[in-house]
Amino acid sequence: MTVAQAVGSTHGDLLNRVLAQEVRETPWLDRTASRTALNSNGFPLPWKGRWQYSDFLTLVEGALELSETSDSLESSHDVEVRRLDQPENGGQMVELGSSESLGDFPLLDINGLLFRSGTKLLATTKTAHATVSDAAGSVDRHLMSVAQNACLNVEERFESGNRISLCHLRDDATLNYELTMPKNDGVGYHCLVVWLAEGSTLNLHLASKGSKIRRNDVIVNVMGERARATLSGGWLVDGNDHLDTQVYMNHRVGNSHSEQSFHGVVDNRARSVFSGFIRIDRGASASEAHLTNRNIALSPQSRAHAQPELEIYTDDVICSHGATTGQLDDDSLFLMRSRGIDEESARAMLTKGFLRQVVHSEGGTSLLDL
Amino acid sequence: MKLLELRGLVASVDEKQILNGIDLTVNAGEVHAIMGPNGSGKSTLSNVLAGRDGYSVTTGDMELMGAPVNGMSVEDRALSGLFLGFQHPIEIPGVTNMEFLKVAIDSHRISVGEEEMNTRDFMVQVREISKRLELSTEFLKRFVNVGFSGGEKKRNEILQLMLLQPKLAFLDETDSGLDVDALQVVARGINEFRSDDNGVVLVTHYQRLLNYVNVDFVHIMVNGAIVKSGDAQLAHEVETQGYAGLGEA
Repeated sequence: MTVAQAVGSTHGDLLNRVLAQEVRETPWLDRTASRTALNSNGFPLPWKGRWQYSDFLTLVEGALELSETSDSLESSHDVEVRRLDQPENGGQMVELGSSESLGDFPLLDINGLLFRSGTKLLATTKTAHATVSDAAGSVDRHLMSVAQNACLNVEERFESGNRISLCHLRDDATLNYELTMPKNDGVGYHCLVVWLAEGSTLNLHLASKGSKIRRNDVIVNVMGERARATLSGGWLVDGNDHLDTQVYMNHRVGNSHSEQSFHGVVDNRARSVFSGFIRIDRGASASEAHLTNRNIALSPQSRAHAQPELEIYTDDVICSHGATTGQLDDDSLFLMRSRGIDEESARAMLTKGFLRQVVHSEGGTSLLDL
Repeated sequence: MKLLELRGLVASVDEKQILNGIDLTVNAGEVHAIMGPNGSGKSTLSNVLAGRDGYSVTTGDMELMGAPVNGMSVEDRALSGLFLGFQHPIEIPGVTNMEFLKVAIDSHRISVGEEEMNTRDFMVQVREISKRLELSTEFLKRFVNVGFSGGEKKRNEILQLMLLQPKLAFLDETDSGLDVDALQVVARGINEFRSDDNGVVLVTHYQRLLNYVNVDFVHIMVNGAIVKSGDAQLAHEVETQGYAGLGEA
């Protein structure tokens, strides 16, 4: 058996297990889109492309072990809530399952087949608030809709498991989303997909530590003019942990704006990955998109991979992207030590200072001890 | 008390010899000025004294507060009483001036067996010094030197000096890039700091800072060596004759 055949057979076995495990208890949910996508796309080649640095198969196996149901919506205010586990909501939950496949995001489709917990949230006021807690042991899916001119504030904590949140912002709606991911020993896949209609605003702020394997995908689809997306945050990954953060910023329509700023710190034998992909579609002129990612590797064995990418299919756009990976600044260290601050403390202060430039939410500063 | 003693100090930067045998003694209660043209080794001397990486002593002796310095870490030199004023104050994004100052003063206190400074006392003291230096207290909340003008950065250096109260202040071109008003504020800070118990070394290109700070000794440094020493009058000679007239050529 060749290596390719071996990989193919592992893939095939795993894919079959996923397909066989499709959740049947919620017949009112149409999971066809996910099933069809998995059947036609198969699984990606391991250690290639988007999965160059993260163990895709382990994440799939992790998802297969998650059989519990959970109620991860901790609290809400001014939000219409429907839960998947309430049969009377059945007919109302259809959209949760039938959302079309996003293409080459197999874990999203796996979630589509396997989720047995979830909520559908509708915000229609300017004071809507939802707190989503961790749902260890389960595959869950949340659908959040923010009505025209409404504003939804979401605080989410995710540690492990497999979770997709799909967010639709109508015209001139606002979504303020704070995502914190504490340290965890398990494997976890998290994906946030946002669609922005005309004049809508997304402010996403994330703070994360690592886990055994943690993959965090953020997909933003800018569908309307005057839409704005501001993404910021930072991570601190240590021990033997792994954190892979991938952002896909798709400007489908022009006269729109996106800004991304992320700082990452890796220590010990940890590995961080950041891939920031900006795509400006044909015709999406007058789009403005910026991305910066700065990383500091604190130890010789730590690794920070940074990959900013731009694909522009139209003229008249303003785009910038940049990524750096380095060490703590020697001059700053010298200044602090020359004021009597010992090296260890100086390094800790500089590390915190580096993260503090981008992490400002209460949850983020407390998670990263800033 | 001898605060600094250099005997035949030869030092290199990245294996290139810059200091070619410096002799200098600074006692408590004295203010010295080291003057010299660009490239004479003044900043190298500051960095060698502070123990910066990449600056190494080849031969000669260097003592701070009566104890040999070689082998001491940067922070231990600072804790023994040395303060280096930076020619180009460094920016530290993400670290506020307030926490930087607090950790610095606490490091000094802990090193002599004292407790960390009470936050209220610290605030009172820092605000009071800021006021004297005409620095808004807003500066304390901002990141260290980030977005500060040249004058503000230098006043921030003097703020650190006045707060930490070192035994020996070695101020590397603290006067450079200052307008007259800022220069006077900085000079006032230095004058308030100086006492019979401490010493100050002003490293400078020009005589103008010495219009505001009375110095006891002036040393002319050329090509990594002190070529002439004298009293304040020597600074005036530099002003009229240039360094060339004092032995550079």
